[in-house]
Amino acid sequence: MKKRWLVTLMVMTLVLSLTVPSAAFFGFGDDDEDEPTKITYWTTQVESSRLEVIKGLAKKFTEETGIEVKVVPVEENDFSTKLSAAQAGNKLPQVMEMGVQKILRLGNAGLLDIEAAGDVINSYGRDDFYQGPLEMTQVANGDGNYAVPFHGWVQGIWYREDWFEEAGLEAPTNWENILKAAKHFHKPDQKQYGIIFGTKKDAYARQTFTQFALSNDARVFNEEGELVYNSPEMLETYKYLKDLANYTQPGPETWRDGRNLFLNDQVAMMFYSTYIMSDLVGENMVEKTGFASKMEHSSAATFGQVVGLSITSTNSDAKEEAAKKFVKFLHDKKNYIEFLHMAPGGMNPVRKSIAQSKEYKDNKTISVYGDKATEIASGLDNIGKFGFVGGKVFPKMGDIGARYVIGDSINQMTERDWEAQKALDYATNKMKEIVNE
Amino acid sequence: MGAESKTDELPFFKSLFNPETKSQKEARLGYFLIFPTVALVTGVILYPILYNLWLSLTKVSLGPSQGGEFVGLANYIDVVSDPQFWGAMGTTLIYTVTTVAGATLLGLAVALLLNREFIGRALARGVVLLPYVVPIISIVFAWKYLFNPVFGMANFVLVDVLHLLENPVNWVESPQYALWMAIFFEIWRAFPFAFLMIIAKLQSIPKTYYEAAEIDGANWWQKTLKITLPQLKFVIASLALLRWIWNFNKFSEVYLLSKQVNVVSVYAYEKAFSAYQHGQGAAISATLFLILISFVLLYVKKVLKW
Repeated sequence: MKKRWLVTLMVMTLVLSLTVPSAAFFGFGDDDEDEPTKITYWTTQVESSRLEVIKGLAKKFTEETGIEVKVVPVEENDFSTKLSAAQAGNKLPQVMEMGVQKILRLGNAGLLDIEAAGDVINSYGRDDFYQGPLEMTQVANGDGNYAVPFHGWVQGIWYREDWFEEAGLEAPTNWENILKAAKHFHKPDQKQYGIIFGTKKDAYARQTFTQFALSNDARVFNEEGELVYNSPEMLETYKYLKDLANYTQPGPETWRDGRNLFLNDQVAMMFYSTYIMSDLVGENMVEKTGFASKMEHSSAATFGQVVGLSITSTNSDAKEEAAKKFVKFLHDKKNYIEFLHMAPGGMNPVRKSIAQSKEYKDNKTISVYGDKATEIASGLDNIGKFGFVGGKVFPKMGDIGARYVIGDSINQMTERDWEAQKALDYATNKMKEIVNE
Repeated sequence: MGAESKTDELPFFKSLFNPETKSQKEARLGYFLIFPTVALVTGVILYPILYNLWLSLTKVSLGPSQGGEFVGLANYIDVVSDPQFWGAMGTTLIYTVTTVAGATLLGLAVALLLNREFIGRALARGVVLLPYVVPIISIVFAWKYLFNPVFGMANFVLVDVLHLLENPVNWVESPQYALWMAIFFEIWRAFPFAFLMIIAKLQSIPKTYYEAAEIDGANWWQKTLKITLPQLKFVIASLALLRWIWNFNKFSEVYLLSKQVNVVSVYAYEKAFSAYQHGQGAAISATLFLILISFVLLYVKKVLKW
């Protein structure tokens, strides 16, 4: 009798020991899930120096509130894939710092807490936020926001003002000037190149492409939400870029090549966001460098990104409260400025009171740029994007972005020497598939 | 006792818990002994495979609370009618055939070379293993830098020192060269494994065979051809099989090195996680599994003759 119980006990222990760890592995028994005082925060700030600051802020938050924050850095190009894996595993983080396209995609799928975001925005006063970032994060029917705008950057061509002056060339603010300067400075035998823009299958290619396309009034969607990618204006943009790609470094390139070459005096122009500002200060290149944030062809276009803090919908009120508290904490003046100063000039405030405050301007990089810095920040108000037309929002653009359709077609055109029309058709067909899903 | 009334209803459990004969007792012991293995195999192998097969028959929705929608074989039809899938399959075949042949032959050559006596042999053998034991991510970055078009050493040597090329080439990211770079990289990374297995076998070949051959007047080439290679046959055949299975499904080395090499595993990954077609991703891996298992069975029967 005794022996039988012993055996039963042994079997039970064995079964338990086998199923419990696997349950945790498959996500059933994770203690994080029900712990109200523990939240997870995903950030695209992966540089270790920035992570230090963010972890410091998270620690301060824990000391103040007793709520633990797990900071998870996620590389920008991996964000979409990690996100869908987290969704599938029911392990979405409570707070995410991400670009507006991703916010719209998740918001549209009903995963974000609109009410919580609204509460945080209202607690700091809706009027204090710049209008542009608020519009970009708003719900498709205009009723509320999917996330709380947090910071933003502006993209443009950073160019060697000293070289341009010496050569008697005009600033690269329109298509003709850009091409002329690219030809002039392209000396591959001396390892000096004309320009760097995105020709890889990645987000950077879409970002640099957008500015060219918008300056030629070429769009992905029209106001009715119809796909109008295959337009004469878009074809003209592709043709122009195919020509321009003759004056870049060999092979496809991305932002990393642009930054390395520019800081190494090996390229005359490159597309980059305002994040380059602190590097330029560090390399004593501020005086030699010009910034053309606006591009003109048939119209003027500015491109940039607004990043927001989203709060994930959850059944747990306690978790929601904790997430809200954390987002509010990050927007609190002192913490907010500490956060923005991680990448001075790169991350621009989305609230007027912060942009104008003495504490924000009290920074080496921002003071070097002086009024230019405030001007750049206000540029956030006129950012043009494919997913937003005439105040309307087209979340399908988020899916197109996640699959790097545009970057893929540019890459095929410049690296496999496809005709512009072929590359355009290729992208259009892929977009049609996505839109019809 | 409560437990007894329950086991009464189940004759199998009754015999398990109340053994009557010796053979029943032994059977009971047997079940208990294999239980951990069965549970482990079920949990970590069988369950994921069955779950994957189920996924491949559904349209998986993104929201975790909504279940999938059963679509039958639609995912499989989508996959086999997609020319990109066949393109990726072709790339995978080129990648697998060349890397299996390359890594095995290089491993064999190095093993034959290092099987001789010379000073520093132990050190040389250790150094050969390096590519295999270094963490993948660090060597990928080293290679990317080595072959960078502007700052890389490879282009510097080819263009500026030897003047073999007129302009530097972006070896890793250009679509024309990326596949060959990935193959080159994989051969370099995987050959030490082949080397290790082959040299282990080499050392177990009895010296007397060679002595007998020498008496008959055989030279080095004849000894290699008539003794060494036949002795190595099964090691090499098994190695090639293992490497084939690994490289047919290879993801990390390829994906980390270059975004331009679209092998089937990368294609499946992008389908599942950037295009959010988890069902199709599952269908691709199930198809891959079928192709691979038929190859393995054929190979085992024809080449290994098990």
